[in-house]
Amino acid sequence: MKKVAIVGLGHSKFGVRKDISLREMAYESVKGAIEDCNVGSVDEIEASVTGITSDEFAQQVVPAPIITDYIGMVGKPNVRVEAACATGSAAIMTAYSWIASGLYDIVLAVGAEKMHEAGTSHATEIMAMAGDSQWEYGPFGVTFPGFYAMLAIAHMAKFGTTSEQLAKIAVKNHKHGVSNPNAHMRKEITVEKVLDSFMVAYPLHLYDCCLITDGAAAIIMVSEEKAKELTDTPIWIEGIGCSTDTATVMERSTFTGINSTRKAAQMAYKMAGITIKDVDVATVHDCFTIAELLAYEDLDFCKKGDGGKLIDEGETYYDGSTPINTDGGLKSKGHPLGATGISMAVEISKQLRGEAYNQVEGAEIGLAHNVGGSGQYIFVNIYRR
Amino acid sequence: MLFGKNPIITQTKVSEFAERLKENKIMGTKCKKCGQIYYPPRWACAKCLTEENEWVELSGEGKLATFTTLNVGGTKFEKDIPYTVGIIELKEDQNIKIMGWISNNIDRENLEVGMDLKAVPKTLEDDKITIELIKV
Ligand SMILES: [Zn+2]
Repeated sequence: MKKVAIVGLGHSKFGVRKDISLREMAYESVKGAIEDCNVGSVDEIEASVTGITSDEFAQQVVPAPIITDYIGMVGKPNVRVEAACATGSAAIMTAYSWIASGLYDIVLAVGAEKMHEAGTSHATEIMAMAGDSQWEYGPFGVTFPGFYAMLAIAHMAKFGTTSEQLAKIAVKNHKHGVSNPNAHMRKEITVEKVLDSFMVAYPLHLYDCCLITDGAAAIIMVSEEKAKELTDTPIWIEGIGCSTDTATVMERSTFTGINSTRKAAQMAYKMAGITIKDVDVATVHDCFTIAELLAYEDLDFCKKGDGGKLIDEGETYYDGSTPINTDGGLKSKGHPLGATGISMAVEISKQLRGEAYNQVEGAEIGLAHNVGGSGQYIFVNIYRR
Repeated sequence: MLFGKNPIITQTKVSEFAERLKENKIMGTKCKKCGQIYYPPRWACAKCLTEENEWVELSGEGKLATFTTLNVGGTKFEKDIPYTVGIIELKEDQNIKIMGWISNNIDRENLEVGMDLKAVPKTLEDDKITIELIKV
């Protein structure tokens, strides 16, 4: 396989974007990615992969062509991919394999989602139906926060994890998000504010949950030969792990972790030839605070059951021993489903280039962990400068 | 007879599941080839890719593995909030898990992981039937 690098980074402002349409938001991020490297114009890009999770959110069946057309790539190869909340990472994996195989040398991966227009109730339903609608959502109304709430209850019962510890994760990510101009909610919060907020799904409060956000992100991925022409700061994709888990949550073998994270992580570490100790900075999928805590453990940043301790000790702040979600995470930055995996790649690439807002000094190896649904899809990518 | 409060997928090879609930039985399926028991029931075994399955009755008795109370529902469940659902692990095989509505007879404050609960069918209006988790 050929080596694959990320050379161009583009990121739209995440937030409630009443000013802009899906295709225009995607354009914002694609233009940013082109201007970020020496590719010059879109004419040099051979093919594109589009990540959009939901036609319902897009209010457009077959949503990729409206973007492909708008960014001037008509006539070139394109596919749209979908892997629930990990759609952006699926786009990266697809583009990676196109380049690694030698099919193309310059590929654009763009992810976008416009979610706020659906409204909270409809958005909740769209995301709940990403679970098993025959056996879980239709019969029992278990929403996406509901599934993670059940994982939180099981974790609390087995390991004594507390709501305060979960709240501390939200506090950390909001603190990181303040420095990120593209973040949705750039404001610091306190543990008390989290614990006093509305209980969405017991034991998860409103401030344990990510926002409903509009946004887009894009990266330009190239072969080794092209990387030399296009940038002085290529970021190499060294490992890709992808795993899946049962469609229903009730059929999972454990409720105190996500097994597919463990599997994807092992694949990625092996492919990159590293261990977790080599990772200098990470973005993990914090759609809910408990999801970040489970990721600490399932990625092996700490032992199973010790996730609460890791945040208690403040180790996952950007200046701690294990910097995680330095861009504010899904929690503060926002989680436009199709864009998230690519947004994670943007943050890790910036960290490894030394251009991040909350820079981890001397970071050389980065990890991105992206969950689709409640573990139905997992991607773990390892990046190196 | 349809399964669930807001049935979405109703045309299935295992529609008999809902009929058996009406007879007060919670059924899984068992692969005749490898012996794997499935709950929710499946027409085909994912291990053997065979349709040689038989219905097996589950005790419904088990321990609460986890639960949550939802104060925000999707559009279809807005009128039901707040509602509490849980998952039990069956006493005969903890790998078999059943989701159900926590009965209104159980105080939410008293819910605890590991407590004994029983899954039982519960008839709803409009020819629908669901599963409730009750105190033993
Ligand atoms: Zn079988």
